[in-house]
Amino acid sequence: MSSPQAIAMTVTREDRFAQLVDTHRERAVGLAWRLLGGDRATAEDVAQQAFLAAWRALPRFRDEAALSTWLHRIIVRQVRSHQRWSNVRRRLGWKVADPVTVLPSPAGDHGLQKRIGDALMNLSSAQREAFVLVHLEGMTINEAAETTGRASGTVKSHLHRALKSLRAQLGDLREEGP
Amino acid sequence: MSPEDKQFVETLREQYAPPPMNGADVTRFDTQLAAKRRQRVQWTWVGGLATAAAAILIAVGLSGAPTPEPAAPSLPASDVQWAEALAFEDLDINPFAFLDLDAAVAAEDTNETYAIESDWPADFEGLSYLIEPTEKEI
Repeated sequence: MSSPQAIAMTVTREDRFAQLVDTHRERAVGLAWRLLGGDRATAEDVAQQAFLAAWRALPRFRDEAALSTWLHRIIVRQVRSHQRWSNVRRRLGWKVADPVTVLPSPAGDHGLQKRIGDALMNLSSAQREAFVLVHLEGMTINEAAETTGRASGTVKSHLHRALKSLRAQLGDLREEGP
Repeated sequence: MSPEDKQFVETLREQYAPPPMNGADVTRFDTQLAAKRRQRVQWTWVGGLATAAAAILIAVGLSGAPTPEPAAPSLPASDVQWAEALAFEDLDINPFAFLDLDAAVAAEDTNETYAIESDWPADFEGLSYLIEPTEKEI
């Protein structure tokens, strides 16, 4: 592939990929971080795997919005896959990296952040995904349904149960407020 | 959601926020991503070469190797004995003796029964009076 058109196409793909990473890097890592209960290193790894998948799929996507939704879907799947493998390794007694390495956020309280992360990790993965995507990432129910590959009604149901469980685990936050 | 729940969710969103990526974080992320891309390209080449080599080996093996003779089905020892018995190889008796009986019937019609009687086994001759009609009966 050395024709001028091929070179131009390669450059365009590289440019598009660089732009995609630049635009979505922080949000991709943030989404993975929230879904993984605050594990920064694994969140970055998952986001990088999602970008690698995006590189391969880039020629198929003309619409950047569709690519963004697709990228989020890939991140959710990568997180699920990571958690499944972690569970398998734990059951087999293999060494598993410390699952939660919460780095203190300048805006938040480190202890409280860890408590919230632990409470989220106590939810089922479907409940956690619904809560994180809708309440923490600000997606609509339909966007969350599309991202998780579940029906809207199912997402609503998971959302309701997740909130109930979090209220039970972190009731003191609800009473005191910020 | 109730106002309390909305406030609760807002608290969680504020407190459970990922730390922002600074310049060093961004550089590290991009460097790791570039390394993974290079690694993937290398593995793609290695995988492609290995697949091609395997395909060539299989093709050469299939074209050059002689076609093996189909193996004869092996039978258990008892089945072999039965097969030999059915082939009449080790039998002392004549398996076609029934033809002689036919001949005897034919001879009866021509009053040649006694001529054939001498060919019967000795023990059968001893017992033949039981089935042969006596002169009195005749």
